[in-house]
Amino acid sequence: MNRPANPAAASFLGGAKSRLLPASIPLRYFGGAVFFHLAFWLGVVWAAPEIPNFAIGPGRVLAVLHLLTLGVFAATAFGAAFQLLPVATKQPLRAEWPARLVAWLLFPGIVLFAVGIAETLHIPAALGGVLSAAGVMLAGVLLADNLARARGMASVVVHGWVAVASLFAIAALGFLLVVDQHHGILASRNGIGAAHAILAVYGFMGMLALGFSYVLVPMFGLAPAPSTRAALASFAFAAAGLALGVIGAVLAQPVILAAGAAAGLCAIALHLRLMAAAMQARMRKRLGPSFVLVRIAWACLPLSLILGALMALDLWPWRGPALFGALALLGWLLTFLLGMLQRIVPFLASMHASGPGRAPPLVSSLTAERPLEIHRYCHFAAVTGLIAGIAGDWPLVVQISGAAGAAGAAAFAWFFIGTLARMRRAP
Amino acid sequence: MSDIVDRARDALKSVMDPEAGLNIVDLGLVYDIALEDGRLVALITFTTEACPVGPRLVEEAEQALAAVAGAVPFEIRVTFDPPWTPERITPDGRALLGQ
Repeated sequence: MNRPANPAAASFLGGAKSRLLPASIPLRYFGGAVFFHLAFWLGVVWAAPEIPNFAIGPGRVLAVLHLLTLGVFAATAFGAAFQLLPVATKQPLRAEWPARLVAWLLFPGIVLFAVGIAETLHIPAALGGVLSAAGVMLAGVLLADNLARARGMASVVVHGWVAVASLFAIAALGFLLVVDQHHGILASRNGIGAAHAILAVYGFMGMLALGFSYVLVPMFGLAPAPSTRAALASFAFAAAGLALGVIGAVLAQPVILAAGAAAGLCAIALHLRLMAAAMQARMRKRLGPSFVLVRIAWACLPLSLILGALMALDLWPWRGPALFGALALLGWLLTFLLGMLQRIVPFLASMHASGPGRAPPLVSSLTAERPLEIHRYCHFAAVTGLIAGIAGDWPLVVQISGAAGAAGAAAFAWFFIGTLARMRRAP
Repeated sequence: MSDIVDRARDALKSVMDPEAGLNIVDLGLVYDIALEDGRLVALITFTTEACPVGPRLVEEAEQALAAVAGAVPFEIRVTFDPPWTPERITPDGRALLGQ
């Protein structure tokens, strides 16, 4: 067969082919996220009496929280970033083995860490913390190496850099918090805890979510790519907001914290305007139920920042941390990630079901609608119920919401396993 | 010789973008097909530079062209200049998308 003779095209194609990772790498992270998603909601049922009045500190709620942040969010982020970042940067990962090793460090580490901090077992907590941190740091090094060699897609790359920097800072602050728990080295434990949370939610996860949205939303909607200049303006506000938020938290300065939230709101306003423009110009009118989740997540993102600013200025009267957590972590991040995963998993399955002389099956043929429908209703019931349960200090409502969430997570697992089964059976 | 260009275009209609559910011609990803110095050249793009399915589309396009090119050498060039926009979708493609 003739091969491309144009040097630029040949170079691009050669690189592009090598940027497709084996299916087992991203799918192990998404599989892990599906598992911990179920574990998280079961954990909500278990820890329900303590959730409405949660304050940062070891115990069941913190353990359940880390099943979500490390088990679902970080796992999804690593799976997506290992697969999508090299495509955006036009550079392959330096090696595949570290991308596999991260999962072997992270997943057992999360289990040990969660059990350890839930039951105040120091050795499992410390061992799990070290394993998880090692996995997170290794992932950070791998992603930083890829970003350092990036060519093109500036809007994705700059978000990626801040996400990776946040990842290292999260691990460092998390380590300080663990040491402080036993040796009392920190002058302001709450401030460091708040900075750790801000970096995790808006730094690592937030920056990746915003950056990859500039690729994924137009791709799924068949829409023109948003303006890079406008995306960079949104990024500048987001980075400034993140820096102010972290500084304000560490120094316990409410005005700086609120200024960070205000800058974050400017960033989100610009970002959502670009997303709205892409959605309006899209050629695929029916985006399906996944984008119902995405739209709701977009609405929760600015609400979480407004609540955060009110809390910082002491203008929110009760149960701020728990409500903020529910809105930011569940309303925004979890809802957004599950919406995106509903599109990404069948898309990846389609790519990996094809081969030499074998066309990829249509993505729609790999997606099962029924489990996703069940998941959607259960998810909305669980998140709204949890927020209501926290607001009203009703542990029973929190518990029932957790059960609804677990049912939804089981349906999502059904969708995930079904998609993989169809991938294997694809003609 | 324009016959081979028409046949090439028809052949490329067999290459489906699995995410869009449309063939790459109706999706507007094929910018040009021409004969250059006796060589059949197809200039194509992807919906985004970061499209993970792009390399697969090129592989399938190569197979499709190989089936119609016969002894004529052929080449697929990928470009992002100008970038793809939805306006490039053909009327047939729009109809399939429910426009």
